[in-house]
Amino acid sequence: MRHDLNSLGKYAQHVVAIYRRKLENGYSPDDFEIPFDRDDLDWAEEEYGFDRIKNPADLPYNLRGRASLPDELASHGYDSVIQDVESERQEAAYLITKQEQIIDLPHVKDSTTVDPSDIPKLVQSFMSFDEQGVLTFVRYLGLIKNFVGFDTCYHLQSHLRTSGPAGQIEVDGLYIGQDNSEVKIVLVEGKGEDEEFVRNQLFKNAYTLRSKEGFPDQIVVLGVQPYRDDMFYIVEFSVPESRAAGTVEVADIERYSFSQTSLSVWN
Amino acid sequence: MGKYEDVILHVFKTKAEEYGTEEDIPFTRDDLEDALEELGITVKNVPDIPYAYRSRRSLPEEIAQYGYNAIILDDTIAGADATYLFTMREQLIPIPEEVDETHTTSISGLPNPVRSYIGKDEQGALTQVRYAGLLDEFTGYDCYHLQSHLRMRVNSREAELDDLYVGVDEDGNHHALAIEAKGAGETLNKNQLIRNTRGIEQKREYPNSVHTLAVKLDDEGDFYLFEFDVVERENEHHIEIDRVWKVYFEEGLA
Repeated sequence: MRHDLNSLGKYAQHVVAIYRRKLENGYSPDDFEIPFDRDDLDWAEEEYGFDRIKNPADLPYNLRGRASLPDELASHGYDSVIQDVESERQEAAYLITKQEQIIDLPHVKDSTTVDPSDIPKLVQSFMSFDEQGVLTFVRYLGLIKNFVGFDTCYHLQSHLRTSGPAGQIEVDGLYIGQDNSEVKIVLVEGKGEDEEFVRNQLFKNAYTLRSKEGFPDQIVVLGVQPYRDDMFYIVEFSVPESRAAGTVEVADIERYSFSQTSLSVWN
Repeated sequence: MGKYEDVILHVFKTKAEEYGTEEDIPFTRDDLEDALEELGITVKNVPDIPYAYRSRRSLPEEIAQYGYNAIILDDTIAGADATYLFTMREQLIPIPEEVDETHTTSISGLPNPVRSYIGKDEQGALTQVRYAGLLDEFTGYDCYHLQSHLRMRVNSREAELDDLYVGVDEDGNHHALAIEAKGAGETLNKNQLIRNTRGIEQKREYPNSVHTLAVKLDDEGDFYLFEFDVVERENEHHIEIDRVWKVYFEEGLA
């Protein structure tokens, strides 16, 4: 047993060892999710002499998406290792899950052309076309209000760092708006073109803000992402109140392009 | 004693045995992780431990008694992995007792929903600065917000700037305005301001003229606008306060 685990990377060998032990103790490859924690990691290190995982929070980053999971798990339909957000444990609590974590954005046929004249020329000339640049474009152009269709929608702050029962989160942008006289908070996650929106990350962000006092109960979760050097997406995600109630899905998506003649950032 | 204090004390004791306590003591993320392992402690965001002692917390007395007063990033050693120093150099920049000017600002100019939910922290102060155009007044330039939360590399290591503006002076010259923001429980620190300034200076896409500014919230919910001079003397970077405005919040953030 030992030698076949040694051919795997540090994170993968821990998870395979834990998975085999969980099967011996009553779990089945048919289970949608298998929980484990720091004690299981400690056991695997003791039993097999693995290099210690000093920071278990790195696990979900290293084992995200079926391609990054060892075959022994992926072949049974497992997709990723995720933090067990709802366990509300400060110490490491994780799930080997079959839920797909990387969200594939649906194909968008046509782009909506936006007029960039509300962005000062000077800002255009210094902008970078990454996710932070797109967040700035979106703010200057008031596109969040248009996208969500609220009566009013204002930028509240950039970069919220806060903690909740599942630990710390960081959000790239917060807006506040009124929709039919109901106050709603809009949480905006920015991703670079080579990054992906991740179900459990969006769920954790919404879960944490929903549990915070002083925020409106109604939360809208959006993503922005640059696309092919001159376009960008705004995506709305439906985020359930609990993982038992459903999965994070794309609810709406729009692709935007600029009328290039007037935008100096690409000149 | 909290987790961070246990860890930093463990790292200090281990490294002090190796380096003595006469000069600055270097350590790395690996040293932090070794300490976590030996103490059986889990921390989700390991780099936040040294960050906390750069701007939020004082070092434990067991470390301070040797004359160390902060943790800074060591930029003299190349490489992607952060190297930190327990340093005896004074790092923290307190709010001066006397300021150059005082001004008032009111959230009554903000849209209603923003007024109700504006953060009672440094991000809220940055929001107020942006909505109220306070940087135009402070710098005398026409200021345009370029982006928030700018991640960059300074001497191959990560740095984060809270806000970046471009200002245009009366002759049409462009200036990059690098803004650092600190909440009520945090303190501005020299190392971070110097690194962020050098980071923007090294980025060719921004104006060559870089101003180092800061927004610092106090316990009353009012805030201070700082401008600094960052200069190099004898191969060492120095930072000094150039001027400070106190800005009273008429309706208070706190």
